[in-house]
Amino acid sequence: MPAIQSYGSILDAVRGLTWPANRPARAATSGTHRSAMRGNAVEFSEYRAFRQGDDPRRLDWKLLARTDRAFLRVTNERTTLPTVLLLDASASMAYPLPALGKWELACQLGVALASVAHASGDPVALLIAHGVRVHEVEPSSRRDVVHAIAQVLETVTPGGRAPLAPLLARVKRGARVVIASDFLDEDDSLLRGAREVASAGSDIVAIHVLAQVELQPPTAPFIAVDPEDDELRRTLGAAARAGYLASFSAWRADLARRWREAGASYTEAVTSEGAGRVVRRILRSSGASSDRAREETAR
Amino acid sequence: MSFAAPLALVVAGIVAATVVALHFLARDRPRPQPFPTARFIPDRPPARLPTRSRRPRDVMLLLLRAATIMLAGLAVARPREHAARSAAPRVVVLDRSRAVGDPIAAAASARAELRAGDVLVSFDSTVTVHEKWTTAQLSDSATTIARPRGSLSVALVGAIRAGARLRRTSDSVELVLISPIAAEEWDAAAARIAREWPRPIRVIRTAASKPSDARTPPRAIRGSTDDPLRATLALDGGNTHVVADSGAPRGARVVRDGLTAQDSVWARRGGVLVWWPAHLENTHWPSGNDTASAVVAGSATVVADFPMWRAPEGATVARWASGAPAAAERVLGAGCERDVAITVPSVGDLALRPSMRALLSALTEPCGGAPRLAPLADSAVRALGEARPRGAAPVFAPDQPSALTRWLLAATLALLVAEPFLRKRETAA
Repeated sequence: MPAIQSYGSILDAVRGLTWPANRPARAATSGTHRSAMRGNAVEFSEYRAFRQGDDPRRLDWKLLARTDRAFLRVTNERTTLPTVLLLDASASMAYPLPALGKWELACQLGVALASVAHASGDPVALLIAHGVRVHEVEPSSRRDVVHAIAQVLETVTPGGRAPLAPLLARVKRGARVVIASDFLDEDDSLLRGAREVASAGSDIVAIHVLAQVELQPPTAPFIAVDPEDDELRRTLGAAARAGYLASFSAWRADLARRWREAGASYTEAVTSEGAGRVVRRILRSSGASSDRAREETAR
Repeated sequence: MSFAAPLALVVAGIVAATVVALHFLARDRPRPQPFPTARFIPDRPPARLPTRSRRPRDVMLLLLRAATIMLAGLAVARPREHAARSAAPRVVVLDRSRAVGDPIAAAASARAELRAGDVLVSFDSTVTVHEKWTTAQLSDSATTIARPRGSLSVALVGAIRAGARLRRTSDSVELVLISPIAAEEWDAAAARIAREWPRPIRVIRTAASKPSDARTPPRAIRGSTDDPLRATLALDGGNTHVVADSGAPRGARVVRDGLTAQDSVWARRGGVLVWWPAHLENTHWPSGNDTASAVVAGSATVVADFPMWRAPEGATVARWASGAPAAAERVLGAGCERDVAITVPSVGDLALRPSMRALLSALTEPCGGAPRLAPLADSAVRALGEARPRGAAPVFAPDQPSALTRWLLAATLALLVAEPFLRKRETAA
């Protein structure tokens, strides 16, 4: 069975959705997103008084003839926004067993967002940090790129340690970056890299993938073993449960704050929540951000 | 209530206690499992695991498992409900055969031994079991006229069967044998069958019959005047005149022509009626196409060629050399009838031979054969009263499972089915 067929339900859930950019894009190709550049596109924006140094070819001669005053015709350019998906395939994503809920959710989110971006004509790409290997689907807007992404995801089983920060270096300036990870084995390098990419003009979407059982662990005591570090063993019983929930919650809140301060949009995706809901939440927040950005520009 | 296998209860108790102990022990060792956010768990030493508590949380599962084991143990122990008895029930075996010299005294001995709930087994050549005995039955056995030869083997088999039924409601059963234990009642199987009774047999020896008159009982013959068997009988000292039908039946009457009603009446009154047809082809007895080279009756053997006719059903008293029955005896009231399928040739001297006379004597013996009424030696009887070796397996029929056992098994099965569901619920909780 083709890999894409296993994502049939999520693809049906996101069909018809759009994903506006948070800030004007800088691509040269024509697309659906607002361009950071003003030019000779069809969509009229405004008239501006001719100033010394403007290109005389952009004068509106008809208006000059009618009013005897020189004005420039300003239009809005539309362009594409490359979307790059960065997925974490470390051992901590292979949980809970046996269904590997976190990795499955990350894959569904990746395919769904790739499909939404591709439907708008945007090129999509995939980068998976998997131990010492990096699985890649190069940016493309051809018709079967979402299929290719699904096929690559099918071949990956999470394991080992895989930092995401080095993958940010492969992202072109101005692209939209989606990072799906549990952020358990990341140090500050990923946040620093994200801050730099965001300051260079890229939209960063950080999806924190969580397992429901990590938020509400079982009440029966057990010995918790870190899958990425066998030496790390802690006993989770009734007395330790409150401390665990408090420290885990504090860490998540701090992580959310730091991502937002870095200029990214941050959202949590829990395995008990459907991938469709998470995608719609991401798109809604992206649309709200886009509206705010437009209003600020207009003021 | 008692139990057929009380050790099963002890075993079940030990297993249940072990399961309870494991419940407490198992909870103190939580299982390791992968958990990516383990780093956020406060780092405490395992010795301070707060779950080391004396109160298990899965109490229901613990109770269910213990109950399953105990019910299974109860079912295997096979409880038996029975009324409290002050003494073990008895099977009283009363001899009513011809070996008993004083049947009334024997019946009185039996009456003294019998209590309510005991079983009376009376025997001669057959056995009668009275599970609810009455005094009238005892009187009948004392006054009955017909007294065939007794068989202790038959009596002991009947007693063992009666004992098996009693044992369903009682742990032990006593066997009391009231008999003179004459030599003719004892055979090779009697000792072996007696050993199947798991406890010593209590023997009450009654007076034996006196051996009958040493003189040969009178014998008479009815048939044609030129019957060769008349000559045999005459040479053997029998009465060759025509038999009168009146008078008390004594001895044997050989009938060579057809039987009459008077013959049957005579036999029922205690006589030995020997029907020895002169012309066997007039009977409906099966005939073989073979010839037999000899016929044997007791210690008498006649060697000659005989057309091999088969005697009708009954206790075989004479056999052809091939083993087929040549003469058979049937009990008839107080006496018996012997059907003889041996052809006596009318020519030749076979009828005059000593072997033929011996055959005639054997076939005209009293019903049940010549009595051997001398009591058996005490040494032979002593074995009946000896303790049985340990481990001797009784031949009592295995206990039928009581209704209580079936209910216990059903309850155990129901709990076994419920255990996985409860375990899953406890694990999820």
